Amino acid sequence: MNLNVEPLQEILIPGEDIIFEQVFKAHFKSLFAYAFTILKDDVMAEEMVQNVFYKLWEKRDHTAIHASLKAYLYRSVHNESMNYLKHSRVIKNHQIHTMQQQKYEADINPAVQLVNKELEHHIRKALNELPEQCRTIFQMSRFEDLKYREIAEKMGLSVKTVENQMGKALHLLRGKLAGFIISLLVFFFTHKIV
Amino acid sequence: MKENIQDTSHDLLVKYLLEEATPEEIVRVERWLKSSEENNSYFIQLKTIWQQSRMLAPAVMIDEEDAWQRFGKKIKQQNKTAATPIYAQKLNWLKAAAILLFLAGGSYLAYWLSVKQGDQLIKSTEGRVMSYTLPDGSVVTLNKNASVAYNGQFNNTSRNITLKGEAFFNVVADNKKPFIIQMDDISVKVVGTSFNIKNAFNLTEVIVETGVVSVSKRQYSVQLRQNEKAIIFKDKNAPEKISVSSRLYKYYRTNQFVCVETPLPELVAVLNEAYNSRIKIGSGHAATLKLTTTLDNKSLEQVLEVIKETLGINIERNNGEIILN
Repeated sequence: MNLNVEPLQEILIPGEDIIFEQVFKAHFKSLFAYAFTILKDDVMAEEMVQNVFYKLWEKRDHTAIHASLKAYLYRSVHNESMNYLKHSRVIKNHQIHTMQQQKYEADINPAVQLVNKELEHHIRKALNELPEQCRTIFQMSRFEDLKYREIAEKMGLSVKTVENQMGKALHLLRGKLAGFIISLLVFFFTHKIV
Repeated sequence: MKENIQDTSHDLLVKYLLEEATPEEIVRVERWLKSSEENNSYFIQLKTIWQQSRMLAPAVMIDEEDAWQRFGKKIKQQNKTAATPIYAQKLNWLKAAAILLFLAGGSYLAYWLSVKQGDQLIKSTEGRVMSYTLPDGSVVTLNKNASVAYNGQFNNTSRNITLKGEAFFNVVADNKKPFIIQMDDISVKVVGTSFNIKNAFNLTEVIVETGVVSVSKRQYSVQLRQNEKAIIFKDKNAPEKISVSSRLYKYYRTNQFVCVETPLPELVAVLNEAYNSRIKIGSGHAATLKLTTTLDNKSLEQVLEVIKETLGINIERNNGEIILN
């Protein structure tokens, strides 16, 4: 149970378009980053966020008030992105491939390029397999550099819950990535990168 | 690899990695890391995952102003596909306004303008308590599953609002515009005060914290002052007035269950609401026990443990039911 009272600025008021605009602008970048880490495609990532806001916009005159708006938006972007991923797996794989090639062209060492590409692919896959709340909290910690206390406040959770979810996230990631990471560390060691 | 690592020490390891650990915890973790090569290598794996995952972040950030412009276009496009074009809707509104003006004069237009503000519905969701400031500055705190509705900016003569469920109101004083809360055939009228209303299917309770509150049902009404409570049964006409010392009703705002000589059945009823639990009192003497303690925002398990210790009773569990004896 959580009895915390929600801060007022996190509440959408039906028909108040100016508040809707503020909410959109306040959350856009972090939601875009979230969708991007799932999809690795900036055009589609923006599309996912736009879709989530569009659905909220359509509902804005009925109720559409959520006790923790931030948690609602993250959950929606996660679901929207995962659904997209599910329905476009074949196309997606192709895109990941071509985009990764572009990104690492600048790297000098081709062996490092290859390993990085593999590693990124594995981490993204493992992250996308995490449960939603766990994933969202990891996202806020890793990509928004928020402290446990700040995440707890924004999500309307206790610090203890955030601590558990972060523990769970890294534990699950290690479970999924252990084999790959070990060979990676051996590789880095032999190439004297670390 | 150390697979059987305890969950708690795992959370601690991650805390250490993210620089969230306390000095004592840092000492503990560093001792643990030094104790074996296996532990250390486990930590290096976590650290590698943490560091490397950073590369998933987008290289280029999209500007939110640009995104908002695109969102505007998206809305326009979607609206074009709807049956009535926007300009036609506007025309209809103008026609309606003109007819009203013609038929009923300027006062009707003023009424129409206030209606145009639209009804506002504020709802709390299943698991959450929510605070909301009304247009006049009054603050309403909704318990779980409660809602209030009001019309736009209120009107010139009164501030009318309807309530479902339980809420605490802190009403800004305005002698010229009484604040009126409507629940089916019950109305609560105040000028400026704070009070709690619990509106359930067949019973409504109003408890006053400060000021004076008038509670009416049909032609009957009672005046309440501080520490007085009105009880209104669905199948009875007149509200009943009693004095109240219990502060338990505040729990959803204060995060505390304050019990002063509180009968166990009363506390159990509130706990069941707060935790959505099914606690029952057995056939023994537990129903007659009273409790004086303050329970902070803890888990239900911790709360039950305190009750058990304080009253020396037994707790049994059976298919999701918790029975106190």
